[in-house]
Amino acid sequence: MITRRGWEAVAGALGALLLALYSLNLVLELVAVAAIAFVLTEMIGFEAAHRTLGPARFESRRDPGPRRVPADGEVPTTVELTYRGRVPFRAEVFDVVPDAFDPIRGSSRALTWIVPGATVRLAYAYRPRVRGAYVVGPTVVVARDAFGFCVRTTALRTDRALTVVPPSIAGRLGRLGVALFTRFQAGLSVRRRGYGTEFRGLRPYQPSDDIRHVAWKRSTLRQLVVREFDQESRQDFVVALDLSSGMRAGLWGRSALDVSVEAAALLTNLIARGGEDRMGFLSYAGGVFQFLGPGRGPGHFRRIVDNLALADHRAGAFSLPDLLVQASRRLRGPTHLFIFSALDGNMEGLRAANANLRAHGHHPYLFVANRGGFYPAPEEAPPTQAMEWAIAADRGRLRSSLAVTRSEGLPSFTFDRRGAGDRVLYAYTQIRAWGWAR
Amino acid sequence: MTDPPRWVAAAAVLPVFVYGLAVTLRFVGPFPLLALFAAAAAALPLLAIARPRLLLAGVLPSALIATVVSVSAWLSQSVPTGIVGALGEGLLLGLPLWFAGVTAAVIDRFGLALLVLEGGLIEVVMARAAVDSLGGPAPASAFLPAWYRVDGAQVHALASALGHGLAPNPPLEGVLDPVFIGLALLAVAGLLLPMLRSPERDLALPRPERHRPIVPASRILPPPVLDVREGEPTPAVASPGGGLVPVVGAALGLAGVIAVAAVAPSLVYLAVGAAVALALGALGLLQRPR
Repeated sequence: MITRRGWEAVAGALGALLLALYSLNLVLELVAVAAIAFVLTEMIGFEAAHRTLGPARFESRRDPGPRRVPADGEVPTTVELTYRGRVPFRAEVFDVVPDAFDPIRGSSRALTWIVPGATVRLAYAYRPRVRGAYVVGPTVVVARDAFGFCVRTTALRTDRALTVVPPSIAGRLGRLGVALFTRFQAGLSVRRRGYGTEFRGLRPYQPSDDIRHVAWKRSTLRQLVVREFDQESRQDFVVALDLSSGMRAGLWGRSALDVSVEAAALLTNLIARGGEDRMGFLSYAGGVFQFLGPGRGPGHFRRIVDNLALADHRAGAFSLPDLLVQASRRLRGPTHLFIFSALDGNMEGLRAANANLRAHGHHPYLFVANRGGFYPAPEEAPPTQAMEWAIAADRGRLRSSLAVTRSEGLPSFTFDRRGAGDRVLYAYTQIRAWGWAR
Repeated sequence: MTDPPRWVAAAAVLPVFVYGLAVTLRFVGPFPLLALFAAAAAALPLLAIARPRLLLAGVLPSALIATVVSVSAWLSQSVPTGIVGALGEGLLLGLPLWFAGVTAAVIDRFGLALLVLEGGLIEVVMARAAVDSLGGPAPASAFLPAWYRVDGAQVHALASALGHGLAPNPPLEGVLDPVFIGLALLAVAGLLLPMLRSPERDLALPRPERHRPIVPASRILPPPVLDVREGEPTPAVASPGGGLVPVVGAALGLAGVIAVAAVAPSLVYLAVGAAVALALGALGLLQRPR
């Protein structure tokens, strides 16, 4: 392929030839003839020599790396290619890396002189910054002539699919399900005293104890004994994600949906480590898009994490009452429903839907995106009045939505770009200790 | 080894244009103040040698003067005189320096620089032919009509050549001054100089690595390093350069033209045109995917 510089050289040489013909001057004509002969010989020589340049001329190999990588992890990779052609050339070799990956060490590109039999190795490390499904590769080899007049490009099939999962899954999981059989894991008690329904033991009565917990049959007139309970265990949790456009607020890689996914991944991690509770997943945009019932086990948690990694916006509006209705239809046992939403849709019928859900023993918790908090103030320019107006308008809308949900007895927490992990952690520990959160 | 700087290439290009200016000043003059002012305005592109960004600003005044002189000549259907004539004389005086400045400013773009250089060489040849036509020292006011006469005679000769195959003494044909030839070859060498690359420049990546701006990572703890593996990139090797293939091609082209000119002078242009068309056709064929 002739480059822009090459076309310019051809046009310039032809123009010079025409000017020389106008002058009818021998010196000027010879200069122009020499120039155009120089340019065309270089181009024809290069194109003829590299006409067969293609993937068949190379042996390429990419080091097999992990298929699943946590966001903000670091992945070293190497790509090797050996040239099996006969004509040496000046080559630009680069590996196609998604924009969401930050190079950390080394470079995915090289400019070098390749001779037959030579091996070129790219060694670099990158850090995926945004969850999702990506492809690293292919490796592209661009042959360039010495003057930049022509290039030949070929792509080598070294591409490799990669799923970038939310970052809190990076920690190694414990032995899943172990808490079903023992109170201890890695020397630590995994069960806590609380107000659940599971019996833990008896102890002498203290004035602060609830009188309803006195074990009358074990008590004597001189010594009252109370029953102790474990934290509520073996509970079901379902994370519900709002995929509507309202969750697009924020910068790329740190939108309301991204922050929600990060918090949901944290909850998944906590539940997976505990090994007792069950976890499910639901996504909603104009209706239920995905539903994974509560379950446990490595395969189930991996499926949830993969779905969280690939969660993306969809067309369709969000309706909290409809989500509650749909959830109550699908959920079997009593479930804690963690709903991440921007609460954009209408709230008509919320009272009936909430009452119906609670009548089935479920507990909804709302985590509402404060969209004004997803746009950091620009560092270089002063904030504009339009932005302030938009944030103020959204804050008013959020306040009225929260007033509605809280009046219906729905525990509601707001979050912004800094994350929702602390809110989720608070709610989860409250539920584990008391059986509910508010 | 560092890259040949722009001023080295410019220094190679400049002498032939200074020669053109000197030829004019030697036999023509003195120039009025207005003409010298116009010449200085025409020489403004020389500033672009140091700062290429000034090229457009440097070209604009001379373009304005050229427009005024051309419109005036077209409206009056004669060679301008008076103030406009003085402006025209100054413009022709400074024109070699105009070409020198523009060539040096675009010297990194081979095709454009070659075109401008060729135009500049023709301007030097025309100035030389105009001075020769005066037959000795002459006032500045005679320079502009002489230049127009040479231009008209050249166009007439070219028209005759196209019509009858015979060119009755084209005025530019006879300018074969050895000094001019030497300086023209030096300028062509200067044009090729930026195409020679040092190893540092040869191994520099042509495009910077750009990534979409992403918000800063929220992670506080150092991230895990996955799948640690030893691997060092192979060191880059500088290319040995362009090679002699295009030089041989240029030499063969010159030899072919000279050979055809010696055997059948009237067929030179036809042969050159056919060879160029053939080469472009071959290039087009090679471009087709296999």
